[in-house]
Amino acid sequence: MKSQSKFLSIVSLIFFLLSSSPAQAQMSEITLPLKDGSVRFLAVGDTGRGNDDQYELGRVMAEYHKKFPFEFAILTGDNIYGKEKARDMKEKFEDVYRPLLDQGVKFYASLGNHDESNQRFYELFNMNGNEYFNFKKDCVSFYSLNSNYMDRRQLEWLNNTLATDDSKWKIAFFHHPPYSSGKRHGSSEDIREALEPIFVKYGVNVVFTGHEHFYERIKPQKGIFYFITGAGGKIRSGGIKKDSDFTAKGFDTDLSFMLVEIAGDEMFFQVIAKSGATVDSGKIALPQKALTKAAK
Amino acid sequence: MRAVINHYILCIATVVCAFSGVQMVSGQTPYPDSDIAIEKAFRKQVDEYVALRNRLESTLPALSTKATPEEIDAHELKLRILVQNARAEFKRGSIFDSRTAAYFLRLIKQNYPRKKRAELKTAALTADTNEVLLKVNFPYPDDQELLEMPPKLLLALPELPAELRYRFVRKALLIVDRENRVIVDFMPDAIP
Ligand SMILES: [Fe+2]
Repeated sequence: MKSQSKFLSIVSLIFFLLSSSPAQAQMSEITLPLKDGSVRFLAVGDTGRGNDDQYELGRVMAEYHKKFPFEFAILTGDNIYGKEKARDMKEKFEDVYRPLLDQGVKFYASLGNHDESNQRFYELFNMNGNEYFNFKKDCVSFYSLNSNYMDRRQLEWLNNTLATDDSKWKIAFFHHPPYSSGKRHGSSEDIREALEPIFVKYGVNVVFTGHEHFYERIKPQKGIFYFITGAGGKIRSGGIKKDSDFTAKGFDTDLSFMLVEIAGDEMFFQVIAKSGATVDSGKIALPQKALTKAAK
Repeated sequence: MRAVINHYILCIATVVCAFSGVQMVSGQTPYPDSDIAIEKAFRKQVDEYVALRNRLESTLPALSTKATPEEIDAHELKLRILVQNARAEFKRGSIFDSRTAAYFLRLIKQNYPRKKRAELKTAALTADTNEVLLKVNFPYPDDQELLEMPPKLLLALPELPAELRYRFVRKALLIVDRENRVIVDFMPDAIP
């Protein structure tokens, strides 16, 4: 009798341990529509620490990839903290996302204030030797920018490339957030001053950034949707100011990443915490102006 | 006659300053060179460095844009050693001589407001750059933060070739090679 109850407690303990594993237990339902032919990706930043939390989040990403097979991921910078030797690239990136890499998920990086310029040569970051670059997926045009060194050369390239870009969706991703309710860094006003007029002029719709170690959806600014998704490796708990006018939704108590799906004129997003919980979700419709322009 | 006397006074002052190490700050002391001449001299020094490092880099196997981390490490290290050996005699001030440093200080002051400069100073002093040794020809450690350069300042300062970067470390402004991380030169006290 005694040994039977001991056996039962061991079984319940194993069951408890298995069920409390974040990648298995608390998976949310996917709220994204999974439409045929849609563009699907993951967005995350400030990842490259090689710590347990980053690995755990990597496992949650891989679990969600099974439910929502995204084709690629965008990194909003601080891809590798600390040393950047070959072994660091492996421990702080390759090993963490191995399940996704093995599934053929491509990572497109942008550079943060902890990233060496030489990352642009690293095959798995798909930067092709460039600190800033553009790539297209169907009707979506992506701009990876280097907000750490926004010089004349880069601004001219951005102006010229956007001027001839007739994609329906234009999405920029980079490290420093033009709008942020972070207590530590806050809005990067210099970057806002440099980029916002260009984004407005050429109809950039959505911007993903990092640098702040939390998730924040900013209320639309001049028609642009800004997201901070910098909780990929370490959380700044309580890092979001409570009384900020910018915040539409903030989450600063756990690591997180974004799943995004673009189908026609709509962009859907779902934000997943390391616990597996959905902490934000929604839909953005392309403004009428952009639709008319894209139709021409 | 008066102009000739003034010219001699200026020459003597320049010689005295050069020997005593006193910095001639534009706007305070009459200065014979125009800004254009200073920029031209600056660009010449910068271009000379770039020509040297590119010549040295051409002796190495080209780095693929789809490289492995090991290939990136090896290329960076080889290029750094070549450049360090070739520039072993270089001292601080080869690019930021006193005239150029004064010119840069003026540009920063004129183009970046006082409030912004104070913010930049705080950011630079609190950045994770404590282990950067301010020494010409030394590498900028790869585990140290690269503080973002304000776009407004980048537009105001003379544009560098793509191989080089301006970086603030504490109060100093550095010129760093973005591929081998060699500190090419720096000016201390660059945030007025
Ligand atoms: Fe950062």
